Order: sequence, then structure tokens, then C-alpha cells
Amino acid sequence: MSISSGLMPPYVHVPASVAAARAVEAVKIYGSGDTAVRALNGLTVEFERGHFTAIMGPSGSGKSTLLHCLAGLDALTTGQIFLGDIELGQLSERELTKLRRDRAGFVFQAFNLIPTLTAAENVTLPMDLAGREADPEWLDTVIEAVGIRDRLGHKPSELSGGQQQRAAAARALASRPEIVFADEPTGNLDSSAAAELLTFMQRAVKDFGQTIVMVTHDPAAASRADRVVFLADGRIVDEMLEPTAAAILDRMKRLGD
Amino acid sequence: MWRATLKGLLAHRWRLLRTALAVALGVGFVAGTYILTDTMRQKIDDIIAEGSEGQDVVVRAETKFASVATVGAETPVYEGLLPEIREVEGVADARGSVFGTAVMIDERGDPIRPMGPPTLGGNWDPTQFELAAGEPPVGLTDVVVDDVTAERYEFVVGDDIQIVFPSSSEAFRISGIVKMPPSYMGATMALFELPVAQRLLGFSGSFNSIAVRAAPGISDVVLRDRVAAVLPEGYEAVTISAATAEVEEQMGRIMGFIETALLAFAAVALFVGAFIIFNTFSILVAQRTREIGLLRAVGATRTQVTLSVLTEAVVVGLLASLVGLALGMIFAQGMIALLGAFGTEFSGTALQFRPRTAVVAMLAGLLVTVVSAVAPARRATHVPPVVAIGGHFQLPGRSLHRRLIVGGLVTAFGVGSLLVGLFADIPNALSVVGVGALATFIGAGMLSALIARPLAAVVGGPFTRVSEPAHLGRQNAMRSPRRTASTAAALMIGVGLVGFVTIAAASVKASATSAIEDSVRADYILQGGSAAMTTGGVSADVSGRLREEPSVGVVSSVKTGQFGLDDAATTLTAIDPLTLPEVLDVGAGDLAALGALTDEGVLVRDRVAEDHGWKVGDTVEMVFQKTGAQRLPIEGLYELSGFSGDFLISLSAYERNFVPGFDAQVYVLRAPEASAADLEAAVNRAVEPYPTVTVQDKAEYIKSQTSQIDGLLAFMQALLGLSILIALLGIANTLGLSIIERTRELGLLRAVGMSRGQLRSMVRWEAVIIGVMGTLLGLAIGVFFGWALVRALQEEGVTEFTVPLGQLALYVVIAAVAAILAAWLPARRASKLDILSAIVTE
Repeated sequence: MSISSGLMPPYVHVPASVAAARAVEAVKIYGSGDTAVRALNGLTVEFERGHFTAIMGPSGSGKSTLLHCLAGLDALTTGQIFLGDIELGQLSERELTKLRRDRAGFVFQAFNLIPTLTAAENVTLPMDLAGREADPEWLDTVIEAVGIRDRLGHKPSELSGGQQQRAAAARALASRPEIVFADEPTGNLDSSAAAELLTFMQRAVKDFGQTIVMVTHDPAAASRADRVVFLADGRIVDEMLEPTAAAILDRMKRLGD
Repeated sequence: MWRATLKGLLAHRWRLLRTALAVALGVGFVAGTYILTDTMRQKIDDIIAEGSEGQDVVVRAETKFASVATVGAETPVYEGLLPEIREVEGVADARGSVFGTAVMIDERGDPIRPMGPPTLGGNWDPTQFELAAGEPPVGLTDVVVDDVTAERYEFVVGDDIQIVFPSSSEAFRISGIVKMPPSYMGATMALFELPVAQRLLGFSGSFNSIAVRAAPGISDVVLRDRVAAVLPEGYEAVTISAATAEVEEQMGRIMGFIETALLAFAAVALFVGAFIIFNTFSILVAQRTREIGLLRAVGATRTQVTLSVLTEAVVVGLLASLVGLALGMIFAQGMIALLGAFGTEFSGTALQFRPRTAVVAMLAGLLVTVVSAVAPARRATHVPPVVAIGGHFQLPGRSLHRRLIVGGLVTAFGVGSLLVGLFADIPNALSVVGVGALATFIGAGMLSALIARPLAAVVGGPFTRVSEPAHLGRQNAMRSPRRTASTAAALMIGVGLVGFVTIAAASVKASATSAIEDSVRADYILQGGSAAMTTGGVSADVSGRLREEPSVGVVSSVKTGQFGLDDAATTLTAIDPLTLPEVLDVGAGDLAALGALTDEGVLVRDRVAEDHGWKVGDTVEMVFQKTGAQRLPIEGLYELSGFSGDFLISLSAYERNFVPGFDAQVYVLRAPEASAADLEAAVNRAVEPYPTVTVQDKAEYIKSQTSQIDGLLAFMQALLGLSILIALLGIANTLGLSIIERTRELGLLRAVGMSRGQLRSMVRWEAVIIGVMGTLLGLAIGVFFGWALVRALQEEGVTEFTVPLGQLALYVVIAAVAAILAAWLPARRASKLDILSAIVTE
């Protein structure tokens, strides 16, 4: 693993084995006074390298907030977020942008692709922004894996919803990020397109050693993960290893979703 | 419905104001023009009223033809009439007055010559003027100067001063300082004892006019008739109100010309504003489809939707009009300050804000805005209610096919009208040309949507390799060809006209240069400096002094004057047919014509003779102010352009028919045996008492001729600059609206690692591509317009078609830089977007 020295505050101790991402005593409060909402309420969690973790929880449980904060898209009120050994709270806006570009990948629920760029251009966008060349072999591997090779020259409006999401997943992996964040990636897909995307994400973890953190509502999607973390009221309330859809559904019912 | 509309308006008040600004600048131009010209008119009326105080009837030589009044050009009134007029019953007093040109020389030897206002010389009249210091002028060497000039140049009573007249240059002693009436607008004034003024200004034994004051109880009309009864043939008595009305009418015509010229530029600015309004409302309607769908779903009719959009246009138009009126005041104030800085004083007259100004400005603002919003408003009615509940709907753009046909037809009509107006002999050619240009711009604007995508791709092509933001900026410029095209088209108009005047000016300059290069043989050309006729030319004395110099071989003077032809004031040039061919290479045909010219006849320019159906041997009736109608035989036709007017007479004929005046130019040729240094010394000796005269060799003469064109070009560019500014506002507006539309996309870009700087860069690249596109389209049209004009003016001596590529390339660079500035705020706003709110909208 290589860390650009500019990003690493000198006082951070680098342990031998460190989680891909972790939140420590994370508190996020939106608004102030009577209308203040505690989206994250002193939450601590780790996401292991090379694992596929799903975050689940009822609406308003803080799962999206957690993902946004982990990804450096939003800042905590108090507490710490580490991406690898880097504490995000110490970073400037510019450093955060660089971190997202070079060390994280994203798949959102919708509107994942820039409409003016072709699928291929979308896939290499983070590297183009960094002014870096993509590793052609790896790019080839990723594109092959998501199965959009014949659609590379097309604009997003000419792709199906499933193809768009797979192109977004390819983009997320193309720069070999340390971690990929997926926010309801299957939310807008029909079940077969969703299954294809999830299969690819599983492969990315198993075959390529990718780390993925995915927020989802869908127990079937969550069951593809190695581990499911359950949130309620801004805290981790439970977790499940080797989950099945039925077990997740059962747990979610108890959480009152 | 109304409440929804109004709430929407309030919610978008800043955007409304920004949109309104695009029209407000044009409205401000219109209002400012009216305020400025009204104020100037008021000032002129004040001057005339002040100048006519204490007069009831004026006696003058009969006006032979309608002409713009020029100081010193009036026919003299014999001074022997004065005692007779004083005898008339009912006359309280009668005084003769003399006025002409007198240029004072400052201590450094430079002429005191404000730009525009006249340099007056006249007779001291205690009933008309009041001394601030010193004594009235008595005798041959006394002069009284005005207090404003005295203060500015630190003249005091007792100082010596050199003053230049049409025929002489003399030294005087300042005997007094006269209080300058403020209405004289920055003119300079030197006053002498009456007989001295008569001699100096060429009115020996005569006056410009005689002012008569009535005894109590005698009306102007009665007095006029009584005075008229004693006047000999050739003189007339007019009441002061009739006399001032004439001058007011003449000045009104000049002001009307200035007003029309400025309004033409204002119309261009409004036209550009219309493009922006159209574009803005089109984008707004497109962005609001969901809102409009909701209104339709809850029961709003199509008419109500249209009215809702038009209401917004009315509000924008009203806002634009009000802001425009305020801008107009500032514009007029600024112009008056600018004129003051160049020597024309308007202070002392309040800014004239007439109801007409408000009405026209309001109408202009409202009409431009509402008419431009009609098409977008109608398109809004196509939104079906279903979009309110998430149905997908794309506003139907008119098919590109139809656009091609309509745009092509409009362009063809425009180009056709332009060419017909320029080349065919038709009445109202100028309006036809104007309509043609307008249609060409609209047509090109429509067609530009068709080529916007490939053009943006080509323009942005070289940049895509620069950086990813440049690539994305180019893609954004290409994604909505209509929007890009109409934003660029607004810029195209201003740049097209700037390109046109630049090419026209370059062509005229090149033509003038080659004409002078080819024809002028003289070693030196003497001119009176300022081109304004009131500040004179070369005193006639100079040519006499030159002839006495042995190293001077040939001296040839050229004068210009006005005469009446079919009741219209027409310009002629007087030359010496013997010496002119020695200093000018006129060509074989013209040489023969000049050889045929006697002191009794006239030469007419060939194509003018053709228009009138005149042949050599026919006679032309020319009405001279001094001698009345004269029938002159046409002794030849000439071809050469470059003389004022289309009629040539001999200098002897001029002396017979005109009061003495300055030489417009004096050409000097070296004597064969003399050296260049001798000639230079001789010429400098001859003009030594006349600092008003500029001595130029051929190269300097070319430069002075072309620099006048440069001045005019700079003035037109400044006036067109406003249209370009409005177009840049349009770019800012479009980008701002696009950014709102692309919020999610911008958020995504930021999320996947685009830095704020890169985002700003992306917006700026889009602006640069739009700006360069508009500039290239504009320059293409400008080159065509320029070519058409040069072809049309071929007979006027514009023989060269010159495209100053370097200057046009500079315009492209300036446009790119200006576009970056226009994108400044939108780019900043885009980069400040909160990433999360951008991603999680809805």
C-alpha cells in the first residue's frame, strides 16, 4: 500500500494492520437548538480490508450519513473518521478532494454518470481529473468483469439502468481505490440487473481483494455481503457475519423498519 | 394563479434583476441619448435666447439658400444702412455687429482651440457685454478676451497676445477681460473696437447683421415692416423670433442627426438584449417543466401558463425600464462630463428629463422583453400535467429541419436586402440595409444552432488535451446547441458590427493612403489643424508669404464653400487649375478638364453629372450667399475623388462669390534648384506667425488623414462595446442557469474527485468556447458586411478591401478573456456548491 506523504499528517501512528475505514465516537448533528437532529450518536465501527460490508437500518437511522462521512463528503460534528491511517478531520478541503479522487470509489443510487461523457470516459474520469494514465490491463479486467465492453463508446442516455450502474461500478474500481462506497446502488434497478451488479461487486472483493462498503435497504442485496452492520438512531445496534436474506429480514423487522 | 406567479417572482428576484440588466443597459442607452440631446437642445435654445436679448428685429443679407449657419459665412450688410435704419420711426436703437474666427495663441505658441466650440472674434458692444476687468478696446492693438480663457491661460490686463484671423496674424495688448456668458459652451472670444474687428474679420465697411431695438409700444412685426421698407434690394428684416426659430431649426436638424445615430447604436444594444431575454426565458421554461406541469395538473389552463410566463416578462421589462432610466441619467451625465473634458461646456443647464424620454424608454424595455419572451411562453403550454407526477417529458424543440429552412430563408432575405440596399439605386437605401443587417443576424442566429455542436467541437478541440476540465467544458458547450448558439449569437451581433467597422475603417484607410501615395506630388501640405470649420484653416496670407520664398516652386491653395443647388446646401471646392496639376497627379482625363476650367465655369464630378443628366456645355444654376443665383457653364467633367463635394470652381470664381475665408489646404512644391532643407526653412518661415497651421509632408499627411478614421473607429467601437457587454452578461446568465440545472452533475464530479479549481476551470472553458464561437461567427458576418460596404463605396474612392487579420485575431483573444471574466461569478457559485446537497437533491 502506498500513501502519498503529503496526505499523511506526521503524528499519525501507522499500525501494522489497520482497517480500511473506521469511525470512532462519530457524532453528527444537523441543525441546532430545538430542531437539531443527531444523525450519528457516538458511533464506532471498523470496516476490514478486503471485505464486503453492508450497512442496514431503518430510514433516519443515519446509515447514509455514516457513508457520506466515511467518504469525506460530509464532516463529523465530533469524533474521528479514518480512511486507512488517515484521519479525515485533519484534512483540508483540497486534500479531501484528492483523497476521494485517488483512494475512494463511488457508486450512487442514481445519476452516477456525467451525461456528456461516454461510458469509457466516465470510467476513467477520476484518473483524467488527476491527470494520470489508467493501468490499461486493470482497466481491461474491470471492463470485462462488468460486461460493458460493447457499450463503451455510448453516452449514458444510451445505456440501460443496469448498464449505467455497472459503468459506475467500473469507474469506482478503475483507479484501484482502497475502498469503494456504494449508496443504494441497486435502488433503481430491476431484480436481474441488481443481481448482476451485486455479483460483480462480490467478484471485486473475492477476486481482486477490493474493500466495499454498501448502504442498502434491500435484504437480498445485503445478503451478498460478508458482513451486515445494523444501525438505529445513529448507533450500531447489531451485526451479522455470513448473512442470509431471511435472517436479515428477521433482524430488520425487529428494528422496526 | 396570480399568487403562484408572484411568489415565484419574489423567490427569483436576484435572477430577475440580472436578466433585467441585459435590457436595462439598452434602455439606458436610449434614455441617455434622449436626455443628452434634450439637454444639448436646451443649451442651444438658451444660447440663442441670450444672444438675442435686447433685439427685436434683425437686418441681414437675404438668405439665398437653406444652410447650416457657420460663423463668418454670412454675407456682409453694408454699414451705410445703419443711419437710415436709425431714422425709421419706432426704432429705439440699431447696432451693427461683426463676428468671425479669431484663434488666440498661448504663451508657448500653441493655438487655443477647444474641440468643438468655436473660437470667436467680434466687435466690442457695451450693450451686449460686461467687463470683468480693464478697459474696453480702443485702437488698432487693443483686445478684450473672455474671462474663462483668461483664467485658464493666466492672461491679465496688459499682457501681449498673438491672434490669428482668416487672412492675417497680429499682435495685440489685452485691455480688458469680458465676462463670458455661460451659454457660450466653452467657446473662446476676442473682442475689438468695431472698425478694427471689421478689418480683421474681412468685413471692411460692413457688418454681419444689424440688430434693431423697438421703441416702447412698437411691436416686432410693425418694426420689421417699417425697417424693411427702407432696405434696398438683397437685404431683409426679420423679427428676432423668426431669426431664432431658423437657427433653432438648423441646430435641431444637427441634433436630430446625432440623436438618430446614437439611437441606432442603442437599438443594437436592445436587439442583443432581446436575444438574452429569449434565451433566459427558454432556459427558465425548460427548467420549470415540473412546476408548470403541477400548475397544469391542479387546473391551470394553457392560457394561464402563458400569462404566468408573460407576467414574469412584464416584471422583468418594468424593472429593466426603471433601471434603464437611472442608467440613462448616468450615461447622459457621463457624456456631458466627457464633452466638458474636451472643451464643450454644458454646465449651467440642468439635465433635461422629458416625459417622452420616460415613455419611449419604458415602451422599449417592455416591448423588447415581452416580445422576446412570447416564444418561450408559448412553448411552456406544451408541458402536459403528467410531468408533475414524475412523467418524463422533453420540451419539443422545433425540428432542426424547420430551423434550417426558416433560418436559411431569413438569412437569404437579410443578405439580399443588404445587397439591394447597397448596390441598387433605391429610395430609403439606408433603412433597407438596416433591415437586411437585422435579418442577417437573426437568420445567422437561427442557423448557428445547427452548427453549434460541430463548431463548439472544433473551437474546443485544441483545448481538450489541455486538461480534463477543458474537455468537460467543451462537452457542456456542445450538449445544448440551441442554448449555446443563442448565447453566442448575442455576442455575434456586437462583434459582427465591430468587425465590420474595423474592416471598413482599415479599407478606407488603405484606400486613402494609396490614393495620396499615388496622387500627391507636393512636398508639403499645409492645413488649419482642426477639421471643424468654425476653427478655420490656413490664413490666406500664408500662401502669399510662401510665394515670396525663392525655394518654393509651386503654391496651390484649395478652399471649400457651400452653395445652393435646387434649394439644398451643397459643397464645392475651389482650386487653381493652373497649379493644381503640378502638386497633384490627377490623371489625363482630369488634367484636360482642369485645363478647360475658366473663372466663369464649373467642373462637375462625372457620376454626379450623369445622375443629373448634365453634359459639358450645359449650365448649372448655383446660388451663392454673397452674389445670389449664378448660371455657370459646365466646362468639363472630372473623376478624381478626394475633393469636398462634387463641384470644382476656380479660386477667382470663389473670390467673386464668397466672403474671404481660410484656405482648406495649401500644397507646396519645391523649386527645382532649391534643396529640401531650404524648402523646409522657407515653409517654416512662412507659417511662423500662424501657429494654427500644421505643416505636413506626404507621410505625415497620410497619417493625419488616417488618424481621423481611427478616431471615428474608436468612437464606434466604444458605442458597440455596450452591446458586447450585454452579450457577456448573457453568457454569465446562461452559465448561471445551466449550473442550477446541473447541480447533481457538479456534485457527482466533486464526489469523484474534481477539485473546486477544476470545476471553476470547467465553467470558464465553457464560457471561452461560447465566447470564441460567437466572436468567430460575428467576424465572419463582419467580413461579409465589410466586403459589401467596400464594394458599394468603390465609386467613392474606397478601392482597397483590407481585412486586418492581426486586429481580428486580437478580438478573438479579447473575447476569450472577457468570457472568462463573465464566467467568474457562475464559476465561483458552482465551486461553492455543497457536494452533499448536490448529490442528494430529491
